[in-house]
Amino acid sequence: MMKAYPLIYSRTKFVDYLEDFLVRPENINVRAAAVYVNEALENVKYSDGLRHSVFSVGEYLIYGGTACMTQSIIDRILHEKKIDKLDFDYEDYQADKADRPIVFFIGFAVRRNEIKTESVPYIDLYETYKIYLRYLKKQWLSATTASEVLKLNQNGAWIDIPEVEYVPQFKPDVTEYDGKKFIRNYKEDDYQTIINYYFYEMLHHPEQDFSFLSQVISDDVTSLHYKNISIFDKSAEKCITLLKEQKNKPNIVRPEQTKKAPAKPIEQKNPKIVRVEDIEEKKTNSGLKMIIIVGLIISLVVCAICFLAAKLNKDKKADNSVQEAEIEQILEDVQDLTDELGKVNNLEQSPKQVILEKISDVLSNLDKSQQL
Amino acid sequence: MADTKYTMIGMASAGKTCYITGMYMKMAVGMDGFTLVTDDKTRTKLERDIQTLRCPTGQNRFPVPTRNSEEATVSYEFRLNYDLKKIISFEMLDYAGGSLTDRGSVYSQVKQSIAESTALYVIIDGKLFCSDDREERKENVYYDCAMYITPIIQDFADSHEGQLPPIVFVITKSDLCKRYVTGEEIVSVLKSLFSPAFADGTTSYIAAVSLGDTISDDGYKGKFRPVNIHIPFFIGSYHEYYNRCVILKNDIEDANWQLKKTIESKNAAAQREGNKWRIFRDDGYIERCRSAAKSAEKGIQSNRELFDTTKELLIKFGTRLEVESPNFKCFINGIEQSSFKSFKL
Repeated sequence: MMKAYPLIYSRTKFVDYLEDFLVRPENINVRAAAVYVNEALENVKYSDGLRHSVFSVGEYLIYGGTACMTQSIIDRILHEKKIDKLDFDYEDYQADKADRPIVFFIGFAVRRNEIKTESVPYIDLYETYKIYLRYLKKQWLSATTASEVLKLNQNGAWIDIPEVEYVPQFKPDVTEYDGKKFIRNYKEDDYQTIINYYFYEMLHHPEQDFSFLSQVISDDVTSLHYKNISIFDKSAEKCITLLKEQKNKPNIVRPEQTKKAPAKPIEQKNPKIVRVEDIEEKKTNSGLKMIIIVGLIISLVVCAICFLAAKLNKDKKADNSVQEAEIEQILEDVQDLTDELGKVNNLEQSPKQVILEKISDVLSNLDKSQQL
Repeated sequence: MADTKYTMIGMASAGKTCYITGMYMKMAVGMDGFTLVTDDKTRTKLERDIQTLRCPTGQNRFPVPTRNSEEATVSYEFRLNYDLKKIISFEMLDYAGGSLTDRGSVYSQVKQSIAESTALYVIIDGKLFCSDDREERKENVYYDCAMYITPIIQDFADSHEGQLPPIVFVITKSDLCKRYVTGEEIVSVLKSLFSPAFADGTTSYIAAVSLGDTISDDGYKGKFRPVNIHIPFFIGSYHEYYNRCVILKNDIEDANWQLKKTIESKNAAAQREGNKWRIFRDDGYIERCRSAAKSAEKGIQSNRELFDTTKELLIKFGTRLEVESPNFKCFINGIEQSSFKSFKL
């Protein structure tokens, strides 16, 4: 027997899906697990209502991951077992309070180090659904729900799943494209041997990605985290061809992007209002012209000022030289007069009159010089 | 990137996913020239859901409950066109209604979307009114809807200076509840349980919609013929378009005022330049001034045409809603209007 912890994502009759799972082992990385679970559930309604998956989250390998609509898994079990009715209470758990069909995921988390080397778990859809209901019923009619966290190694927390020796029965025929392996030889009837293969490989090659999801809708392929997939609505080749076409397809030029399309204002994201900035023009040339003219005028004015200043300076110099000559003459006259006075002191009064006249002349000359 | 966001606020199974699907179905091929356009991926999904809804297979025809996870939360982007002209593009978030009660990571996304929305849609499950007991009908709405949603509306007002965007109450599954409840009672219940949405300064609407009057017949094997399902998003888009028109009008008036000033100044500048001595005159400048004045005149004309085109579309939009007026109720400041009147620009 193999120790496994159920990982269940489901809504109940009255309460919506819980982000951290309805049931989960205590230390699983919820975010990482949710990525795989959500991808498995995406559009499952349109892929016959049931998918199988295998993936790993940290130390856990998730075996027998089943994403399905309740009605679909019941139909499958009834068909496989060739019975009309299940032998346990199941009919009241197929739709929520609004009568919408329940879609859920259940997988079995097995710790990598607790698995015997050549063993794989074994659990069929009948048992899978039965275990799902066992946990669902606990909160089915509750007004509020809470994630049931299963304690590791606590009695009653895990369930024992039969284990079988792995016998290689499936060899995948794959075409690889864009990092994904498209399984060409997937058969829904052989899902058990296929999930055994991926579980076994995942166990023995932890360094490689052996995550697996069946019945993928071709439109959802590109966003998947699963590495190994089977396509539901097309052949693997057709799906790859379409993906290639999609990748190589040039951007479609829509009418609104063509140059010819009339770009009426209201069609634009931000209608173009004509503003002043679209009209204004700078007076560049005339401005330059004005600057040149003003420059010339200023230069002329400066030249004229310089010329006048030079002329004034020259005239002043000439006047000064005339004055100096006159003063020199006067000084000579004064010297003569002084000499005459020296003589007079030693002579009679008779030439006195002459001397006084000379003095008078000298003084009048001095006055004239000062006036100048 | 869409022009704006609308957010549906609704509890689990209120009908948010079906509302989007039905709305797209009704508008994909156009209604009086108005069409809804989306990207290929969304179109593929919605077309598939529409075809499934058409199949009279009972409850399985409806979309499965949206999962409460960030991965399963979908932001749809639509563009509303009139003829070939884009009117407005908008995003709408579809999420698990349970997130409004568990307040996990999806709730954060929803709150963010609500805060950025220019119209809110309160999606109310019509089944809540399906009871013969009047008190019970009100209690159902209280406990399964208003108790969670009214505080969210109040939060919006608190974080937006007391303002609320237009709020449209969408009563889904009206084909079921119309046997139990009258329009007057719905108005009374909503006004009493969602009072912030009917306060002074608010504009709110109530529209009852359905995926088909007979869809629930014979265990949901009736016809898929959506009723009034386009009205709520029409209302939200009309408000948003009107707001944009008002902004555009103000911009145009401002631009035209400045252009008029430019014409005057350019003509005056040309006049002044013409009066200068020949040696100082710049004939090129005069020419450019006159040309700029002419361009400004053309600009004014172009702006007027832009405004007229915009106004024309707004009138068409408003007229369409006036025609639809008997199918929804309009409240301004909490007072019920006799009919919807389109806004004047």
